[in-house]
Amino acid sequence: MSDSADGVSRRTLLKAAGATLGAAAFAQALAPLASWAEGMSSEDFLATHYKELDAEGLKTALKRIEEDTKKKTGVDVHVTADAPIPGVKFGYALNLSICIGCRKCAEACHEENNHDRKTNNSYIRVFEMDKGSIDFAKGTVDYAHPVPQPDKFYMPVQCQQCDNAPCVSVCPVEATWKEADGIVVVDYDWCIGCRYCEAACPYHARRFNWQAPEVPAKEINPDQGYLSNRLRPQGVMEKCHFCLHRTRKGKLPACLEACPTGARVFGNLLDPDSEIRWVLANKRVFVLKEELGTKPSFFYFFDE
Amino acid sequence: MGQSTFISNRANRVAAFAVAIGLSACQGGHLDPAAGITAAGITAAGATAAGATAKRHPVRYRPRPSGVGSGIATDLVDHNGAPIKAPCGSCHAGKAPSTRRRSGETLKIFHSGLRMKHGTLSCLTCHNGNNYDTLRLADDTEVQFDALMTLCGQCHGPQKRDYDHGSHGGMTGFWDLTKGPRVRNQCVHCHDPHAPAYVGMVPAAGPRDRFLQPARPGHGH
Repeated sequence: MSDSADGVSRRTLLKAAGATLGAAAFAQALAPLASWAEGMSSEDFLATHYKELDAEGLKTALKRIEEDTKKKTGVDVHVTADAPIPGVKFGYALNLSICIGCRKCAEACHEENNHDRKTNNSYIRVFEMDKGSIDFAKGTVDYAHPVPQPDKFYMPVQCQQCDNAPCVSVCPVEATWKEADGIVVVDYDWCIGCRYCEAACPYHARRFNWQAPEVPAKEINPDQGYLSNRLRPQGVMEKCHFCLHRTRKGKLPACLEACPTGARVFGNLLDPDSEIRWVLANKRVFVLKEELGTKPSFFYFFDE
Repeated sequence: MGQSTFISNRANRVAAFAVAIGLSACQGGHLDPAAGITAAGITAAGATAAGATAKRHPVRYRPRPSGVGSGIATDLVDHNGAPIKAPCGSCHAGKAPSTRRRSGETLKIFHSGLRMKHGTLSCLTCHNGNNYDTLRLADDTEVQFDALMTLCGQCHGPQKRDYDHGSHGGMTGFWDLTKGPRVRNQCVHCHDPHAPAYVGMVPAAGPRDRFLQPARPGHGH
């Protein structure tokens, strides 16, 4: 190798170029950290995991979310973090004999849980399938004709709140877990959006926020829960949480209230006098994909 | 603009997470499930489970639809603007009950659009020929329109049984009656008593997400 005319070797030149590029790349990589100081509190930057928050920390976190939402949307919301009720394990049962496939449940979920309007997202998918078999591959979810069709049956599918939940065990950061009342929840501030849980769920019950959900300010449901329907950021997973901001206050879930036929039965599995226990004891009940051993808290049944 | 800040914050946190993984990979999990530190206690956590001796709130019937019940619509309104109904007896009191009539289709003045499609029932199977402002059970007991659930349940036993156990018929309110009341639909909210087969409806809009787009070649699942 020969020196160039002005005495700078090719090696030196490459070194310099490499160093410059490297520094630029490094600066680029650290750019998020540089922007940190501008509009963010340290709590926002590295929020504490929900389960590690003490009462005081939780209060602060709830207030921060309320203020954040006010700043971003102009809406006054009330965010709560209801704890599981001791002695309660939630169960849900759905009567396939009287479900008419009207999607009122999915619509109610959409509105209750501040879902993205553009995709018409909902935690519930209602499958229309031929009578005689449960074949999801042949089912449709985007039917638009009047219901019920005489040769079809309808099967709403949402999170089955499994006791042996594959989505929980695959999460690399413990951003999703099963609460004492059986509800599988997501900490939106801890989820890194790897979507392992989406792949692991055999019920296709998890949704990924490819974009931050867009909800017109006047349609935002202000009754929100930390682990449920508060506005989700882009890049995190979400799922049905049995409307825990309602059900942990004793209320029925939104999808059940919307069901015109009464196909949905919700209640406390530990209360022998509950409606859900009557259904389990008296109806022909099955769980979806029982062979996978997920042990759902969601049951389907038929009349007679 | 607020939106884009939101996004970049999220990106920041994920980036920070990646950095944290790199820096402290050997520190192990940041969350100890056995630690037992939970968010419990912020709201009504201390409340006992349903049951115990707590007072239970009532389960009420949702009011009947305006078309169902004693009286027939007129085109008059009262001083509040509410429609005035004429009691059935104002016409029927002076008329002998028509025991064999099964439909209103051939009637000329009232009930002329009323088409019966309810098995082989006649008007007087449920309506009380001695007082049209009430109903009658199969054993000829006179009951008010409020008792129509009992009336329907005479033939539709399994449905009534399921209704009584909360697995047929819509409801709103509280699953835990120690915390609040519940309101139940009645049969007639969904089933027209004169033609009870469910007529169907147009469903709410379906999803519009990417799972409904055809797979791109080479990206099939």
